[in-house]
Amino acid sequence: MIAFDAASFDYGQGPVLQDLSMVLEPGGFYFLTGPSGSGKTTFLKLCYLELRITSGQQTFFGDDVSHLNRDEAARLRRRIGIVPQTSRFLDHLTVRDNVSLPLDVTGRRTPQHLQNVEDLISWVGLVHRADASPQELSGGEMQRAALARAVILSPEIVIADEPTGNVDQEMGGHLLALLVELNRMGRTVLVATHDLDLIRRAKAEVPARVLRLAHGRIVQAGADL
Amino acid sequence: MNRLSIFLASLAADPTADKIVPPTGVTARLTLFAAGAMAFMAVFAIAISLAAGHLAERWGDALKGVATIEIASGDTAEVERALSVLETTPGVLRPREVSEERQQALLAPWLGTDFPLEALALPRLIELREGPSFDPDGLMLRLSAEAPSARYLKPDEWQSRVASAAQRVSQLSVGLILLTGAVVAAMISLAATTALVAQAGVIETLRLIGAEDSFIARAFVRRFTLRTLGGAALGTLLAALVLLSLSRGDESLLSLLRPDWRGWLAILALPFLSGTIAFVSTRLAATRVLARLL
Repeated sequence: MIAFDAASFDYGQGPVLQDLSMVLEPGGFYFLTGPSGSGKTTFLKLCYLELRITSGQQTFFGDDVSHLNRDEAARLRRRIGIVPQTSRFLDHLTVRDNVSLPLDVTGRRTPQHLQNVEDLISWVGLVHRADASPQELSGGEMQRAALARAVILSPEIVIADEPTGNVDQEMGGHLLALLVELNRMGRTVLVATHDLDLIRRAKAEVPARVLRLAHGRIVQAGADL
Repeated sequence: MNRLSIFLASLAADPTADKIVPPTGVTARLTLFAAGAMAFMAVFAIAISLAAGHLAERWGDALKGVATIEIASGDTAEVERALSVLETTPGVLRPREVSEERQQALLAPWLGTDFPLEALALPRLIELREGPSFDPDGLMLRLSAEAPSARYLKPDEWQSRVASAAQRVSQLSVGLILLTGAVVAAMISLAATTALVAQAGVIETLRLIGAEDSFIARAFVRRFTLRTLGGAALGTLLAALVLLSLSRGDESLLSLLRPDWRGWLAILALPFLSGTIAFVSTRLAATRVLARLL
């Protein structure tokens, strides 16, 4: 699905990630761990093409993505559901409008899809907050709204960056349950986290694999905790 | 898709495009005001340009066949000597001095009725009609001895002076309209760039969920085009009302400002012209800023 081969990335001041060679298989559940500053967010951004590798090769669904322009990358991103670390919403829109925004962007605002919006808002438990402004949401509610928006286009892979970073354990469990459910529906899930308890709880539900980042490299891929 | 289709598609009802651009109070008001003010000025520039044309036409007709002797020194004795020469010159019909009242009346539109003409070193003028045997060279030869500061102004010289002055006013007005268009373009471009840069977070979010640059640009282009169109329509309407009120009546010089059907057509086109300028300016600004915001 997403593959890196001897890939590296740097911001111009020495490599941040180097010698990445790995494959995210369809239907897999992956955790990306590592200490703060190890490059987890950078790696995720490479996965959804917000950043581009500076050397090596990266393929997406079998195609080389190194030469995609901005619009081509944006179109490819529609096949990826992204839950960023810090919630990125359009604050002047309601939660419902934010969740349905990918439909507007892709020109798929049909009655059927709009019904999906309502179903998704219900699925993440935000029916009572659908008409609220994103600024009025708590950390957990924001993450759930971001998750609903991430899956509205039925992506093949969902990438979440520290989804439980700013929520309590109960909310973290709820978010994990949603991600597990998505994985059981056949979606590939990649979650960056340093919450080991979250990983343990997930592994009790699904055969999750753990990728560990340290010193700019994935030092342990596919190993159990 | 041709340019017209792109323009129309950008303005067509699109609730999505409307909603993704956050409301920006100050920029919105500034764009509305500037577009309105520019349209207001452009309406008057059009009216002045057309009025200059009408004035030249009117004066040209009045001056047809009328020649003028200008006595630059302004000396009364010289004027009298010149008149005597003219009265005895074959081919010269009805020579008469242009009275001070008439000069005052001619200059009133420019200087007002209360202006003390004696404060200006105006030449004295003698008007005459040219008969069939009129010989200007012979006349000047005779005048050179009696009235050395006399100068013969041919009928078409006056006409060409008036036409040239009117043409200059007209050109100035066209220049003013072009300048107004350029100011609108610069102002919209600046406002759009500021709005786009200020909304970098929104753009980042839209890209994250798969928005292409054309979608983002379309939203901003639509917002600024419609805003400019609205502002320019208001400015044009207001200017048209002021113009109608100023040009009421048939006697006043200001009645020349009343546009004919061509003038009204040009004035009505102003909001659409402003909208087109805004469309192009915002599109260029959006393309530039989106390329920068990688």
